[in-house]
Amino acid sequence: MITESVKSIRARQALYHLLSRLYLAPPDAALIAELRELPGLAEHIEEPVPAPNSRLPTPDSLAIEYERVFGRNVYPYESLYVDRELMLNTAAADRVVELYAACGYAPAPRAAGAPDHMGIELGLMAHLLDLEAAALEADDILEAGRAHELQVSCLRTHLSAWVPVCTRTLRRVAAHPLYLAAAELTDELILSDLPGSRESGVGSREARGEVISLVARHSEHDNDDEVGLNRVVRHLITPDIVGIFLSRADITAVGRGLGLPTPIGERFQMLRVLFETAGQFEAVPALLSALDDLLAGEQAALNDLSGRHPAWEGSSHRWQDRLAAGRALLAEMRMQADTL
Amino acid sequence: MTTSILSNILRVLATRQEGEAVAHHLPTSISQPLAGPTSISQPLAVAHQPPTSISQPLAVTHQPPTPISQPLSDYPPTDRWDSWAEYDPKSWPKKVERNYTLVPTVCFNCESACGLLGYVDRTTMKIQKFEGNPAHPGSRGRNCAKGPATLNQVYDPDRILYPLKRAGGRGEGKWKRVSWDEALDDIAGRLRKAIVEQRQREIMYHVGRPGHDGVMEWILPAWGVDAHNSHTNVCSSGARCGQSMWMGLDRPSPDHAKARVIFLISSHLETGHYFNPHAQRIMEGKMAGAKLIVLDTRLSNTASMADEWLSPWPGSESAILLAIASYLLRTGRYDRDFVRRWVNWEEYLRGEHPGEPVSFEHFEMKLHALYAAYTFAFAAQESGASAEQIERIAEIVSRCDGRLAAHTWRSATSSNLGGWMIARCLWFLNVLTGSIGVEGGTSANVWDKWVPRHPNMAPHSKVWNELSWPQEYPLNFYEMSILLPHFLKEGRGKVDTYFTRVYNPLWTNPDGMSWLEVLTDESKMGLHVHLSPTWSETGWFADYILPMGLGAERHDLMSMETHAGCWIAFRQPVLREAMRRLGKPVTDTRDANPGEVWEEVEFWIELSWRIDPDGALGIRKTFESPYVPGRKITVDELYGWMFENHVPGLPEAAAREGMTPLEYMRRFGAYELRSGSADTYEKHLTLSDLADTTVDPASGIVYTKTPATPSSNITPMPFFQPDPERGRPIGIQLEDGSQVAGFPTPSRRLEFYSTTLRDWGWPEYAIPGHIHSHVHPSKVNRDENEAVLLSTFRLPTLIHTRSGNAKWLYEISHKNPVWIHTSDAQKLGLKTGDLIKVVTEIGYFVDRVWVTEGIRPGVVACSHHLGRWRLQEDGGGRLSTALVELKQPGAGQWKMRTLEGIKPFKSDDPDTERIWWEDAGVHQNLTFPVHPDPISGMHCWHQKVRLEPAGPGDQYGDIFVDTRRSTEVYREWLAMTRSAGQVSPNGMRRPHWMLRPFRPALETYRLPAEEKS
Repeated sequence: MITESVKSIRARQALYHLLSRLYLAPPDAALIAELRELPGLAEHIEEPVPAPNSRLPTPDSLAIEYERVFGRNVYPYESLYVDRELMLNTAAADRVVELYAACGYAPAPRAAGAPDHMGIELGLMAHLLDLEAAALEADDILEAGRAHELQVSCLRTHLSAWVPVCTRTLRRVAAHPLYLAAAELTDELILSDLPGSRESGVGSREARGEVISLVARHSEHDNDDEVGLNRVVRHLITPDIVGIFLSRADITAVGRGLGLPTPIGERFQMLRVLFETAGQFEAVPALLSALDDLLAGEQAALNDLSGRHPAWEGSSHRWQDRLAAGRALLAEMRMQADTL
Repeated sequence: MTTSILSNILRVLATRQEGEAVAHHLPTSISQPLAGPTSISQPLAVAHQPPTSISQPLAVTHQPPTPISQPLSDYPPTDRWDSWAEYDPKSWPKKVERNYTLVPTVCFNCESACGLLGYVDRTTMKIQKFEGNPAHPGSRGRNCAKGPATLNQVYDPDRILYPLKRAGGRGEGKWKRVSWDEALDDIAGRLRKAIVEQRQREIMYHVGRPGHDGVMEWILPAWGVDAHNSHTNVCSSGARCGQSMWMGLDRPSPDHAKARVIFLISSHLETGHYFNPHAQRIMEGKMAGAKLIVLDTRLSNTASMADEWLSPWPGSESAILLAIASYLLRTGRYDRDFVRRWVNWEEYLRGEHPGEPVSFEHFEMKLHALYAAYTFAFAAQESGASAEQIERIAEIVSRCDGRLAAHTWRSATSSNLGGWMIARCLWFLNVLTGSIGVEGGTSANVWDKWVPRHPNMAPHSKVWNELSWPQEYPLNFYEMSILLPHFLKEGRGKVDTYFTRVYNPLWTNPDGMSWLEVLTDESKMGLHVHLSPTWSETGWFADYILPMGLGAERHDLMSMETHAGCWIAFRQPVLREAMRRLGKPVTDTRDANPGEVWEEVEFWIELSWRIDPDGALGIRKTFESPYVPGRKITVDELYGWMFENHVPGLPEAAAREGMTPLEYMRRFGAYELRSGSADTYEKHLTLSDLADTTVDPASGIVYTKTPATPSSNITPMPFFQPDPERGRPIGIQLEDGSQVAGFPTPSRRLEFYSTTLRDWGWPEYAIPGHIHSHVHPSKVNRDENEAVLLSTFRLPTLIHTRSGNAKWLYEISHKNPVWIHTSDAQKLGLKTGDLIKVVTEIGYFVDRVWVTEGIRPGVVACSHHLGRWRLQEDGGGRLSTALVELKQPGAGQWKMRTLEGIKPFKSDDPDTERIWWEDAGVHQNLTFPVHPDPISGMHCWHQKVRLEPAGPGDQYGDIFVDTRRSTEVYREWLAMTRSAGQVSPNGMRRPHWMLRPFRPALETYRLPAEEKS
């Protein structure tokens, strides 16, 4: 006999599991079969044999889209969002691993390049929900409570602290409707599970809300234009500073919007060259405006999300502060550009 | 998306709870929560599918053409290699199908020996492209830019297609085409005469990149010569020496993928020995949580990926390493059991502290005292790095839990006086952490390398060549190749026949103008035969240029210690193999290669046969078929015999595929002998080993009188001459009574205390320590604009001389500016692009500067990978060389000036008219004197230089050199040596046990009588 409560837990477990797999690898036949059963997702999966000249995606095109999105543009790792080193396996990943150990969760060591991949963190939720359901089925209330507390910890300390910003990147980059739907579903699932009794946030960090000055924190070397530009570009590609993960696709889109070529390269190189090119064509103010528009759009989107999920308001404020700091940086640069 | 959709999905999923569906998909175990065929435990199986197992059966012939519409996969499946269809990209948007046969071979650009797959068009018999060979265990289908660029080299319009003989004076640039027969008969006759007249010492074979294993060990001893000369002392002598003094073996094999801490004194994510196989595994290690520590004075790409990057003052690396060692000792965070079991501490106590207790506790007390002075503050003072960061690194190392993968090869060990000690100090960390020969640690190369025995191998030669192995360097690793011009000028001997093979000493070595002076002196160099597929600065001064095949045009066998495992790979001429598959007859590789390009293995067999056509000299028998006595061996017989008899497991693997071992290797290109770490020094002696043994009561060394059986693996190893009474050492009895193999050192242990260094004149360096480099800060006056020039770094897309004919690579990299720190540039009033004059001990060069903060103040850097030149417009190599003018303003003085850079030209390749770059770089090595380390023999590449803004008469690319001054510098360094004649404890030229390529017979080790005093 399965109680309603256990059924609900198992359903959420299954959905976390499904999303986990969706983010960790291109969907295989088994996953596609499952997706076809689910309303809101099934319509994004095409029939096995596409009609001639069909514009619907084929399984190959899903694989290609997966590689384009997660291989080259949206890097779904917590380290990149909550730390400033712009590297994988930073201290954030160490904290995630500690949580995994506390939860008895042992994903394959090299499953996704780093342990703080969104898919693995979602897999942790599936694991904890499984523990909770099993404990309830065995009438072990204490164990069920412990599993639930760990879910709350995972949601507050990790998933809600960065995933909604990552899924914003996904929504900007993805072209395939399945991944767009997955992004929205992920937000809804996480934020509807997030308890509202305590303020969420990135670990125990204080909100920064800082304005990044181009002048106040200059070192003597920053007087060099080269170094100054490097510093600005590095800030702009650091989510924990400016509130957005500027993907390669974002940078390319901004460049295209201005009619400027962008090189293929890593994000730092691309954005730096975009600034240099904009300088050559006297388009720096336009570039700054385009970036500002991007940040403003993110502010609006996050406002909307926190409006629908008040429990996320605390985290939302922090990301809003960062976006404001990023816009202030752009405004200051704009002033400098105008005075040249 | 709204919450209603979320609710709907959850409702559907909840409904399933009533049945079994969800349970089927959900995890059942806590430790593997999402296990199962679609679980996250193997989430990337689709994206990163490993290559099809080579154990799968393969249809060899009569396959229908592969349909083009295939599921996405990383590589063509091996069972379709014989017939693989793809659309011709040049015909786009038309869909024109091409059918290929895919032939595996091995890249010959760097030393990694990565697998390539040549796509040979079955209709046109042209090579369309090269991709990676997924069946190759080292590179696993992945290649750097240099692998695919093999195609450029094959179709290079400037390559040499026919044997050429000098027509005018040496260096005059006049050549005539000759037949192979004419060249072979001329050279063989000259060699035969020298051998018959007992002038074996006048034959020299000088190799740059070997690119093969075992072949020359088969050829040269058969001639009875000690002719091998190598590039080692411009490359790796330092690292080899430092590592050999610990374990007898000279080369590391780190297991990066499973390490907890990866410690690089190198730039292995971008360049260097085995960088492609290493880089993939370093990243795997990092992805699994390993911390990457990089010591590199430059902000290299590797440094940029490090968890801890430290930019030390050049030569201070050993101070940093010893500070880490001291920390491990001070805090007790070293593997005490391992050190007690494997370090020769008893020997140290008995040798250095006679009369004191011989206990491990007493040794620990001494050890702490020895390294107490190596504090973080001291290391910081020496290196210029922060003590806090060094401490942080020490802490990381202390947590490696026996899994420290450490690597150094060139870099600091090849650049500093005493650089070998840096390798010895790095290995010290492996010893203290017990990270040797274990998973995630560092092994010795020979444990992960397999060179099959060749047929009819000749005994050791009875000749010692003092031009390569002079008495001043009894501990060198190995041949003193950089000193050859000076030895010839001093009259120490002459070279009657000199082979240069994939070697360009005039350009690659320091002091190139001294090379030019002897290469043009026919009294010193009798006949110069240059074996090369391309033109080079050295080839210009040859008498014969014999065109040898590129990586896709020759047979070679290679095995490299790229990771914890062991493999062999088979380089083969892809067109020849394609012709064989298609039933087209081939007599030798020339039938398949362009023009009359040959391959060396067939060339050496033929040359050897012609030296001794009737077998009277005893040479011919080595080259007779092992299957048909008296008949000349073929390449199929040579490799077939080795694969059948001396590669364990290969005949069985081939049989499972229904193939012969040779067919298997021609089909897959590689064979994996072992995956994972080897069972090595802890390997227990077997009962058969233990027959007729004696254990030395003092040292624990186990001896046996049973003669050794010839090993199937002929990778060079240290050799211990059997004791007349007890026989040969085969292992060691440890404290717990176990009898195991141990290390191939005199003590059979890891030698913290080197009795070899002690007994051969260098007792002060018998234990790991810190040696002041020739560019120590105390020797560089920065107030006078002196600086250290770091000249050893590679560019990731080039490889010495060999990449000069790859248009794709030169389009990417074609300039080598001088890196200079912003503060130093400001002091000199220079900005990026300005000309700088870099003044060395023997001359100067003029280059542009790149102002950067990616280099330490007081240090400048310039890559050695560029600066190729030619003396005549049609002098070859137009893709990569500048046309220069070379003048002699005075005796010993040489001045080079660039007349024009690279420019477009017409050829069969339309791309040569699209060349847009002009820069060929600057040839800095010409301006360096030789700096042979007195112990290892390594040329110490770092230069103390003076920096000046270029003057009005200076032009980009200008070079000035005074070879009289270079002779003086040579003598200054030579004076630091301690000759075997003075220090040898036993009348030998060199410790007999130590590694020595082409080891001659024991009697040749004895010093001439007049030197023994």
